[in-house]
Amino acid sequence: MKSKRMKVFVALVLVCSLVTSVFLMACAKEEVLPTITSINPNQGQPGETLDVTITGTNFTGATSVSFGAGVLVNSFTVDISTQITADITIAADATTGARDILVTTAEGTGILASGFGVGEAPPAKPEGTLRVALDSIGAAMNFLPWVQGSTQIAYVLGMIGDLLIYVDHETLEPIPGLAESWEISQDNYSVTFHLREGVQFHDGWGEMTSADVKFTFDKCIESPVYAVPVTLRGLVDRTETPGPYEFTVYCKEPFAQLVVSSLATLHGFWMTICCKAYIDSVGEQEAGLHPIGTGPYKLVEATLGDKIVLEAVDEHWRVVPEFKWAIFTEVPEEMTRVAMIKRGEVDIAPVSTTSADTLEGQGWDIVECPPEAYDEIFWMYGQYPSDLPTYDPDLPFLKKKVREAMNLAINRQEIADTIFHGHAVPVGLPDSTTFSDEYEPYPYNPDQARELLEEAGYANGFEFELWNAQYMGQAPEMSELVLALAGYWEAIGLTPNVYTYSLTQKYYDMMQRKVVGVVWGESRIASYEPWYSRIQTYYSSSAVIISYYNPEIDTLLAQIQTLPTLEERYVLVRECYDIMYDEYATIPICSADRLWVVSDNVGEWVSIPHSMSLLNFEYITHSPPLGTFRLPF
Amino acid sequence: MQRYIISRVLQGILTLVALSLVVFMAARATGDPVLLLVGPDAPEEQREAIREELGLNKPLITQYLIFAKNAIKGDLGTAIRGGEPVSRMIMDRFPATVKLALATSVFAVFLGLILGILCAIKKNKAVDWLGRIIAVLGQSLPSFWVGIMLMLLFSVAWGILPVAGIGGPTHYILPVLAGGGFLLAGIARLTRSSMLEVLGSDYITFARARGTSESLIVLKHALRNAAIPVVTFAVVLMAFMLTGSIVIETVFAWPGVGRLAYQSITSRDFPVIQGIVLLYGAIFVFANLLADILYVWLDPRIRYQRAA
Repeated sequence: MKSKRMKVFVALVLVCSLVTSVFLMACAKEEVLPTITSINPNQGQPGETLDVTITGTNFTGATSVSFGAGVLVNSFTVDISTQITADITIAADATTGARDILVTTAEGTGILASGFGVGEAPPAKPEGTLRVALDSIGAAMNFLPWVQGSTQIAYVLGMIGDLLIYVDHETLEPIPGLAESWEISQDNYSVTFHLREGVQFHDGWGEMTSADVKFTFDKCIESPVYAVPVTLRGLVDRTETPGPYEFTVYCKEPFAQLVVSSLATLHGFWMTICCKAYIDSVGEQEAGLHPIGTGPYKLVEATLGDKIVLEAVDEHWRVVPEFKWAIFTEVPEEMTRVAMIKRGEVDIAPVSTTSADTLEGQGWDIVECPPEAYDEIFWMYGQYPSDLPTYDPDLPFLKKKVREAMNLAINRQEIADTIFHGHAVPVGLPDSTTFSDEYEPYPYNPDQARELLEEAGYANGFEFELWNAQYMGQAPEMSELVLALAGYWEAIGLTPNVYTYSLTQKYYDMMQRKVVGVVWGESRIASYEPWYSRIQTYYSSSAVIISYYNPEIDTLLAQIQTLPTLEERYVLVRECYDIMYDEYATIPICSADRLWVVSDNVGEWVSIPHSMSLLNFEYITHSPPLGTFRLPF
Repeated sequence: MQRYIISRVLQGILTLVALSLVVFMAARATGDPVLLLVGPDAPEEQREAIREELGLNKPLITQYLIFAKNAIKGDLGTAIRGGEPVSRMIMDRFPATVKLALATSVFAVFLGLILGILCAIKKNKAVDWLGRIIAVLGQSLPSFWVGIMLMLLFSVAWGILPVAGIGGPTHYILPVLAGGGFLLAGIARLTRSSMLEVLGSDYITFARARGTSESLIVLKHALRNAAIPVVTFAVVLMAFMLTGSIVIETVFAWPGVGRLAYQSITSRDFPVIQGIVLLYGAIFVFANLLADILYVWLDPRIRYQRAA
């Protein structure tokens, strides 16, 4: 019995010993601290979110993982006791340098000193090709800004070159371009631009200096065909270069501030700064065909009517493009452009509103760039000063009630919805201005229109010519728009006779003030400034083509010319537009979008109004974006 | 023969001179190019400066003589827009047009001849009817419509051919099919009627009576004579192709002379228009000369008539 008890006792001792041993062993194991042996990847960039694999031991039950300051651990998973996967985000403003990695368990914290590095953002590396099919790549392949034809390729000029200053279209304030700052003298007779240092011309043609700016500026001012130089040319007396990075413009009158405004408006008249040394070396003709600029792209090849090929530079002060190559191909036929998009031969193509609707229905992305790009306007010709031989006192358009009736007869919203398929908004002014929204579009009221005609003595209406004016750049919807207007006017008893003309056939007669009793319209690219110049061009006695005449506007324009600042001029410009609006001087219809169909390769494409031509192809990103894109300005 | 060629060459030169004069005057009668250069915003002094710079303020006859003198030296002037030498602009585009014209001509002449012969020897049979339907369609369907349909079918729907642009051999297929239809139809119809006429002649009947095989009769005896009008027709049509089809080049974004001509006309770029019309004139004069010479060479009766 005693031996039996002894055996049980021994067995119990052994079992207890075993259990204790196991327990002690287990306890001893859990007490071991976690260790970190490696991290993959061991480096990240500011702004980056990535999954990191941490390898080591004793991770079971890990409660926290840390990557140091500026790195947020969004989540982590203990895959096995030797591996943790962590999802981290490195703050965009995280300081660069090494970070300690910490893994904490109930038993303590394992550390890997300097295990992870927050590196510098890598230099932008554009890649891939952006293929754009345009209805016209330009009527001329000359890339010197002072040569006629350059304005046709402003979208390319804005890519291969930079302007001295740009304009913020929200505030209309000039903003720095190649000139980082500028000083206007106290007497307002001169302005000195301080140039950005270190800006290089393409292909090793050296650094841009004030000599290049003076050369370009002087050439543009002297050129007879340079786009819209009248304002600027009239102001400038001479230019000088006080230093390699200083360029001064002296004025004939105290209008230096206006020089700055003029350079900033209308996109600096496309005055991209050219390389003097290069042009001196190869001559203007060669330089026009193979330009050297400072822009984010450089020209590789340009063939009139065929294609333009551009290559992105890897570093640029304004924008590093995401696409290494940009190829613009001329495809005049819209159906062909659509087919090319569908087959993946191009990434971007302009389309009409009708095609845009169809393509959108098929799942294609339609981009408005820039929105409300075109002003669709009509004029009533023959409103001339009474001393002109072609002045006809019996012309119906001379009566305000007739003009009002013709405006009230039009349902602008219907036009925007049907002809422009919703890609247009009715407007009250003939020109897009920053204050256009303050002028309500004229209401649609055909009954009142008929009454007005009766009051004006035209109860039975009258006949007039309605021109469907055709020229390059006219909106594809223009013919349809003309017919719609004819319908509206017929509905109030008028008799418009529609004729189709090439506009160039009629230019001469229009300039000679011989066109009387005619209504014709235009799709005009919305401009931002200088509006007083536009008023003078179309609505004054000295206009090249008088579209409306009112002596009050003449008086205001004369006053505007004496004002040295843009701000002062705006006040009177608004008065001019008030007169035109109240007098129903023109027939503004709507502002229409410029529409593009884009492929899946295209990511962000926003209209950046600071850029030339407003198309800013250099700012388009990949889809998904590569992340090399930097915002301009 | 030599005398005949010299006389035809002199006629050709006279034609070119007359043509250049007409084009020069007509281009200037339709509007002021300066307005297109600077638009309505420009003041008169600016427009005058451009006229001075481009020589547009000189008397018309002086302008023409300067143009003619330079043209003889191969200098066709510079484009108003962009200032590029006109001869370079034309020569940049001409190779593309020549390539397309040659490809189209080979396709159309080869298939047109085969179709025409088949229709003639199988007169009023199914093949003949099919060939005649093809010929009628080829001559009546507008090439831009055919081009777009081909594009939608082969490129968009099936994705087997490129849509547009100049590139590898596959880029030629659709423009050649679209542009060659008219030429093919013309050659097929002419070959058919010509073959039918020849096949009904006495010497063919005699050859048949001698037991000559039908294939030898058709290919050796009949085709040689039937081809005479076809050759002249094909040469002139090839000249048309060489001047570049505005429609085909527009639909298929083919960077040829046709589109350059269209662009120059719409922008009233006189020097370019003049250069292109002179090129067109030279091509047609040369093609007609070639056709005449070929005709005389192929048909000895004409030589004998002239000698007599």
